[in-house]
Amino acid sequence: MTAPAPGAAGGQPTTGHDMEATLTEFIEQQFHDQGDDVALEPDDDLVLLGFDSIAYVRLVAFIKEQFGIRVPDSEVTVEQFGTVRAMVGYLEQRLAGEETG
Amino acid sequence: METPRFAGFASIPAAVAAAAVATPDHPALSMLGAELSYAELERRANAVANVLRSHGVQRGDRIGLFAHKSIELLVAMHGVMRAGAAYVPINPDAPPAYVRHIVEDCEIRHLVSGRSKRNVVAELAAAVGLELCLGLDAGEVPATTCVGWDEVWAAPASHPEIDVTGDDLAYVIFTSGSTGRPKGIMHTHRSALAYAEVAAATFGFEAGDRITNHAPLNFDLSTLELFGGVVAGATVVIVPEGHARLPASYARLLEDEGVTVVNAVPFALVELLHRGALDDRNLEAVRWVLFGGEVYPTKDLRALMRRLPQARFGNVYGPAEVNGCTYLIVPEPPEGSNEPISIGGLYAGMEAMVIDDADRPVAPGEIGELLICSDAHMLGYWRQPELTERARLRRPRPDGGDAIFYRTGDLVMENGDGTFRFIGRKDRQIKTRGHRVELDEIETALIAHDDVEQAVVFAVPDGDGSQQIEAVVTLLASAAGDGVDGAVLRRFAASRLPKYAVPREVRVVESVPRTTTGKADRVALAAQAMRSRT
Repeated sequence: MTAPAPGAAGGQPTTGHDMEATLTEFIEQQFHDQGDDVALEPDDDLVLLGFDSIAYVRLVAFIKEQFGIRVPDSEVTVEQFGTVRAMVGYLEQRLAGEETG
Repeated sequence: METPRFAGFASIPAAVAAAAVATPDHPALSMLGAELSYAELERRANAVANVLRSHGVQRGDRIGLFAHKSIELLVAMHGVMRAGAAYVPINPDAPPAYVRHIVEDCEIRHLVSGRSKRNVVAELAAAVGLELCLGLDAGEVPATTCVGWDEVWAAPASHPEIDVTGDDLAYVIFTSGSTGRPKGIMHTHRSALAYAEVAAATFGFEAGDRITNHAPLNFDLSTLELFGGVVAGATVVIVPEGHARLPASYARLLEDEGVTVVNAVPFALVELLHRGALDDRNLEAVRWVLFGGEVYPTKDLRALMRRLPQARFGNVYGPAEVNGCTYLIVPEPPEGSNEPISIGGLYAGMEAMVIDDADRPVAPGEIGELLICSDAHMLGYWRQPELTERARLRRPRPDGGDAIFYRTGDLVMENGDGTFRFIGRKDRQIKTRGHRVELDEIETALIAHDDVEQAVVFAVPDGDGSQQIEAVVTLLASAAGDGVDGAVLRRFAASRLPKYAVPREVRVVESVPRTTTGKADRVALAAQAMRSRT
């Protein structure tokens, strides 16, 4: 189901700020679909807000579609995906690594 | 049949106190590297109890536990019981209206919560009034007295002047309930310990064990490790919600914490297997993998058994009404077989009956409802005496007196050797075109397909009094390119089921909605299907 997508094929040039806004909007929409309206801050703990494992599966699919970054299961950890800020940090590193590598 | 090795504690606080004397420095609780010894648990539970009692808490009062997992939350749970009160776990992610329903139904005046729930607590305090909230700092919710943890730990740690007995209420757990209002299931210290002690003996829990608490406290599966761990003087390893939701973090926690006993719903273990990146982990310390709460797809179970060859696997079964009642130490399922594993046989000292709709016993090999007679049965449903009475069936003993059996609401088949096969929930048995259909059996048929990860089958009222069977499935990542779709799976089901039991539609989806306890949310799926039809 998840074909490897090395490089940023299908992705768009992205700054950290765009990325943060895009992710925040997507995550807020996920909460909204659950009947829960939150104004998400970059350092908010998503788990404490009730972001569940299914929402994470959707988020990983969204990241692949939006930024062309395939996140392996082993990388979806509390440290790297617990907050929007952590995610942006991780994804920027991935993009930088793919450009230089 | 073994005899429980841990029998004899009068109450859960007595079990904690005994461990605090025997092994004061041994860790009772651990979370992400932070540990709390039994001596410190004893001290802090006393402090919680003294604070509660100084705010008017009396024997039998219900105290809400409404917070995400933490060492403080579990200390508070013990403190509530130490005060002679009962804890009522409320899922921190539950919608505010549901939280309010439980608070009102149980007349909860005292709450344990945390900063992330401050807004909900403030709403509750304004709407129904709360006398005390532990875990929020003074002034955080103006309408109620807040006492932060630092202040609690500074309270007197002397043993409160109350003797908790086996008859005292220990906890009330609310089941989500497929229909109607949620039911509160009451357990006493006696019934909680009856199960904890027999389970700890059966699986040989030892002080050196590190046992995970993965399930939320509002899911009765958690009592196995919370109380089974205490009676063995073992260490309970708390799995915070984030680690429970992200399989790679869960796998890392199991390694980092040196977990020896895993206990979780099958769904979490399936995710651990497929998404936990287990190749990178060393889980050699694991000696038991216990699971319960739903059926474990046999092919996934076999795959995890291969990954953890040193571990033994145990299926623990029992609806909250009777606590645990049967268990199976899983033999390696035969290669290629997707037959569901059994729920095993009774724990030592328990009795079972399988009956038909007219309460008559059925023969081995026939399907009927399972009833259990044991010391681990519930006290009853909270404030629903009639419902409680309906859950009981009295049978005269040959030597006089009555044995009281409790209905489990589950359909089983006795295999003829004292073990049982789980067929499905009684309320998941539907009639369609005049036939009785077990929805859980249809799920089993779909999961037997090699490409299927999860299958959830549900009934949708079709408007003219009958019901349509529908299914959603998720596929394994390895299924990519196999060309499997809903039509293929429907044909597969048709080759294994009677015609009337074949789902009208099988939909392949990315993910299945889950209830707060991690079980597939069939009510939401049926509601979705009805909405899409109008």
